[in-house]
Amino acid sequence: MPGNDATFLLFGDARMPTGGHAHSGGVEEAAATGRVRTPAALHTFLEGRLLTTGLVDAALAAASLLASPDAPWASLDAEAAARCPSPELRAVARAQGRRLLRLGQRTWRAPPLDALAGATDGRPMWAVALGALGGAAGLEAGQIASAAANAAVTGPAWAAVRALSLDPFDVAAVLVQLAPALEEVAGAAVLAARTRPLHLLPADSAPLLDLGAEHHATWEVRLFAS
Amino acid sequence: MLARARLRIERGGEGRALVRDHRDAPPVAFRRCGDEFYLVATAASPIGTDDVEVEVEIGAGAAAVIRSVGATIAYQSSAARLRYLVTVEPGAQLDWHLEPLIVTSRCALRVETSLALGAGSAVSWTEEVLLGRHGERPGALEHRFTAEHAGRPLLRHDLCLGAGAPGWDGPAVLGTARAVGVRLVAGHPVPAGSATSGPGWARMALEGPGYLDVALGADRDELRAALERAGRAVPAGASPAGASPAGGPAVP
Repeated sequence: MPGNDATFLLFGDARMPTGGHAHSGGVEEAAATGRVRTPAALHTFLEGRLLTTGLVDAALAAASLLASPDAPWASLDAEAAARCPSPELRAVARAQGRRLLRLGQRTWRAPPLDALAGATDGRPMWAVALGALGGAAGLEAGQIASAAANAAVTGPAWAAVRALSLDPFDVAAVLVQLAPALEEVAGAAVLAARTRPLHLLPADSAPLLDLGAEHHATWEVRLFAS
Repeated sequence: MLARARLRIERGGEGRALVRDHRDAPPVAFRRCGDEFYLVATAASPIGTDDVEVEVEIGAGAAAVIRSVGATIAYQSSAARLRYLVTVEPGAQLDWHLEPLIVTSRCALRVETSLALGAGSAVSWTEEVLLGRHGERPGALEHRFTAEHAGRPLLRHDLCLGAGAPGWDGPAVLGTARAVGVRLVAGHPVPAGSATSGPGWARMALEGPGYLDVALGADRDELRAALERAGRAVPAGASPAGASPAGGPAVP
């Protein structure tokens, strides 16, 4: 589709007004408790995040795109929520999903986006909203899975620069090292979305991210919202 | 070894549990001990390419407590599978807590737990996993846990740990913990969005009717202590979506 590549690149732009910059993806808490101090530890953190919540979000986004335009939005949203036991992280996912959906409704005026809003009280889980926007934008499932996997690591990686004062060039190098894993995860996500029913989509969890998010939410002073 | 064990419990006179359908299949047997039912291992398993399925049904209105006699040690295996298919019918109660699963170095095991919970049922389901015996690197574990309540997804919670799961012992997944536990408490009304947490544990309200407790420890004793603290916790503050810490419960 003409313009497809350019639109895809916009989906990877952290400066899109979806609020992603306000979240560290657990890095701030992991830094404060000393679990992440070095670029090497950041690499392991991001790898674990990518293969758990990153894979889950990428598969849900791809499944949502593939089911568009007449997707079972309420079921997709419930499946996403069932994979996110932390109320704090669900709130984050719904807040970002709401902003993403608003951006999509403003941009494409596509009826499926209105249907998604109707099925989720305007607050869809982020991965489902991402897939719906990808569908409205005419992207491929692989592109939206890549965008989801990318968001799972780039946001936390750049947050580490602020939370830990890491050298941004070191962080960039970590991201480049993760590129093959990103492609693998996006491929696995699309395969799952194409071949499995919704209830069997990946549901890999990361206990420390859930515990950390709940702990972080109780801090009085913090740089990031999550 | 291919095995299909089955137990169905129904509500009998005066609320006593009645066993309606009972089939032992090595390596699994059920034994009744007063009001409790015990899973007994009758052979070393899972090992090799074992494919073991344990099917349990709690009939409408019945109540059951299910435990096990010993830990489940996952021995050397390739693509071994252990499945728990559990149905808790409307108005029934189930308290399930087996001894831990111990993941030894040369196992490749997939555990699938699938709970179908009826309307008005109440369940407490506890899982404990130890990654390796003392000082041992664990083999590959895929632990898949799924629960539906009244036909709606309540929880999809997988743990892919050990060999073949890059990052599992990193700072996002288990870190230095080698014991992980989860407890699903379902069927009780839960204040939306409520949670409480402490070092190594959290009790988290799901979107459906229930909590998930997640606990970590260096070893089994630490895990048990963390699970107990989570079990006693009462998530007080229901924090609105995206809320700030204000109103949230304090961390002990």
